[in-house]
Amino acid sequence: MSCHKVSRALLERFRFGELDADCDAYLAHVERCRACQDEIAVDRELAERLRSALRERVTGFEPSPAVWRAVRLQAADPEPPGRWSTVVLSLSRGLRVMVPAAAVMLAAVLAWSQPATDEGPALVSPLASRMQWQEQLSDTASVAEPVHEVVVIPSPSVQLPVPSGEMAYAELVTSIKLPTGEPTTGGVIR
Amino acid sequence: MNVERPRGVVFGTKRPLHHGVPVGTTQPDGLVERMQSGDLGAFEEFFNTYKRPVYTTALAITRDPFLAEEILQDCFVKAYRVRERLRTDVSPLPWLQRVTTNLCYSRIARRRAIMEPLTTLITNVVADLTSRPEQVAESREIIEVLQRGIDALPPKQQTAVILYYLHGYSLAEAAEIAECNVGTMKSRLHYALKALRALLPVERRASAPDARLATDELP
Repeated sequence: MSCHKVSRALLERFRFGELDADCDAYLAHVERCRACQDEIAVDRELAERLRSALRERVTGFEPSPAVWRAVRLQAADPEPPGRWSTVVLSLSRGLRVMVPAAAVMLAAVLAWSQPATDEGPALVSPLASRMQWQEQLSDTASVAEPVHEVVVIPSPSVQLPVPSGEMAYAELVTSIKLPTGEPTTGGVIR
Repeated sequence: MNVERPRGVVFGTKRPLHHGVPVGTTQPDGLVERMQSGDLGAFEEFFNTYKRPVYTTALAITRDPFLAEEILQDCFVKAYRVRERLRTDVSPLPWLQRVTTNLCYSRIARRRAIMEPLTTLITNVVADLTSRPEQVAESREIIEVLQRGIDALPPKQQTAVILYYLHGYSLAEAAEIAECNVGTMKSRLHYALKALRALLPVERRASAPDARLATDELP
């Protein structure tokens, strides 16, 4: 009979109050074995100290009457929704926003992809209209800037002036060609 | 493996209490039924019947009277909200104790993340004070060592120790509360005591089994 086994088995039986007739052999051993006696004594002392330590934690404390009032108030409140109901509720709220938004997006995509037919004018999206407008603008911008060309045509009646005294210079007929195509006559060069 | 679950244990009929906490309270006739029918007076009676063991467990685990009151409150609010599901043929005490221990450890885990540095500091200060034997009586020192040892136990072992040594529940009752079998409860208690014993001063421990073999008077 091993002392270790005896002490372990006996400790359990002493500790939990399970001594019975089967323990006679063990008890006979303990009567002769000082080590096992010490072991059991230390275990009992530890258990007593443990009870004292635990008792010390709770002695002198009582729950205050306010606890019942708080419990009653809180219990009277409606039960907060559980996890699954919360998820379903939030999903339903989300769906109420998401479904109309998805419908609008679907309509926009369909309108964009629908070609023009003979039956009627194609629906033109604002984006397409804007792009066409920008193309028109760029075509207009490619037109050459108008050049203001001045052409001086000597008149046949012009007599070369004799550079003498105060004789006036001959008049020149000038023709100015403007972008509008309308010639302007007149002008005096002195 | 066939795991035996202790079901239908009648609480408070096997062992006397060690410390006067009324663990042996059985369910008064029709209390849960009356509570289920919406009788607020029955709920108050339910609260008054079971508040003490619930509060004791919470206080023993948390060591904080205010936190223990919060847990007591949460436990009974939960009991009221699930009253339709409470069994009427057995005592609700095991269920209440189970909810209490779960609430305690979830609160402690939440608080530990915040309080850990402060707790470590206080523990070190206490350790410094108690390490001067000329100022502190031996028994007081052992109690302090045990208190720290109980705090350091894993939650399942701590619960086992509180249920068995503080409340005085039988092994079967403690096992039902902890939702394990009796053998597991014995094992948890064994390892808890072993850990606590290792904290004691060497002269308070028994000699190791191997060392005892030399002086053993075995036939």
